[in-house]
Amino acid sequence: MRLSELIKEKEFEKVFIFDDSVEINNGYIGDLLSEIMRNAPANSVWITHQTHPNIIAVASIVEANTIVIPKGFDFENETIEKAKENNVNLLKSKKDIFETSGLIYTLLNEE
Amino acid sequence: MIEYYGNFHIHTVISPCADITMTPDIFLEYLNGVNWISITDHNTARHIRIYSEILEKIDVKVIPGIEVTSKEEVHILIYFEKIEDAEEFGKFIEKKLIIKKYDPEKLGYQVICNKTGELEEIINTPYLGSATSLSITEIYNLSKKYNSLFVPAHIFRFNGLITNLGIPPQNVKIDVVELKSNEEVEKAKKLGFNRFLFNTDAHFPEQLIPSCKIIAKKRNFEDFKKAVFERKVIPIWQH
Repeated sequence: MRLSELIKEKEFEKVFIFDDSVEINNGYIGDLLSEIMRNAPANSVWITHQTHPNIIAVASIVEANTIVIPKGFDFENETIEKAKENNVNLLKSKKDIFETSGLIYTLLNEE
Repeated sequence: MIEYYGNFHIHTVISPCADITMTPDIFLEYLNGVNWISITDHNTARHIRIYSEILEKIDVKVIPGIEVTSKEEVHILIYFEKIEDAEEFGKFIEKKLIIKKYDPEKLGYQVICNKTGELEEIINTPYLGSATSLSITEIYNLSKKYNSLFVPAHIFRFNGLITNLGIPPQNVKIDVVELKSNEEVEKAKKLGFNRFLFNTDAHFPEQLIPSCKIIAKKRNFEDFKKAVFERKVIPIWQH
């Protein structure tokens, strides 16, 4: 699906969108960035509690085009700046990480 | 120059995950062959002074330290020149812990000792094993208000800098990294690190053993810093 279809959902706040026409083919969840680097698939949306600027570098390495954080968390300012430099979309969910994942999983499988 | 025997990552009975036997009398009994250590409890500096004074009896010098948990759940050792600085920093860190209440039956007792080393009271809040609300960058900046060393602990293991953050962060200048094996030394070099420290991360009395040889003039903070920066720390692997 395209990112635009995901952000139609009212559950997501757009923190930074560089391109809402990017294709999302996969999803991945995790907070250990070393594990994400090894296993996350390309063209994916990555759901995480980590908000450190390194998430942008890691998203670029694995070619995840969108990062989603759950409610109760905020991206650091520097993370948002790095997302702009590296063309990574940032969303904040209004749900916790489990519900957020379920919602995105359902949307991806409706395709 | 003198060759000292060190171990600079040691928990006491106040750390919830440390063994209940990590009391000063056990330190006196078990610290054979080690003459330079650091007390590095989880997110507290409350035991440094008491243990330092008691360990003077057996000529073991203590570098004031703390193991802080960042909001990224990264464990960072910070070593201080002055015990007062460590205590002030420790008090601030305790206030920033995000889990206030905890169940000691499940997570371990946080026992504080009095001056003579006897068990005095159990701390019920905060949970010292909790993460703080501070980012690694914030912890770094705060620590550098003091004469201190910033040393991410067990970087390739659980709660390690590289495990949790994948690659070295850009906006902190890491002084040294703590490593556990020769393989880790090679991996760390590839990531651009070149100053290492080798500790047992002691939670049990059997881990109160030397984990490195350190070549220095005297056992004080400046000579510790110098030895580490000049790579005069030689590992004694435990395996």
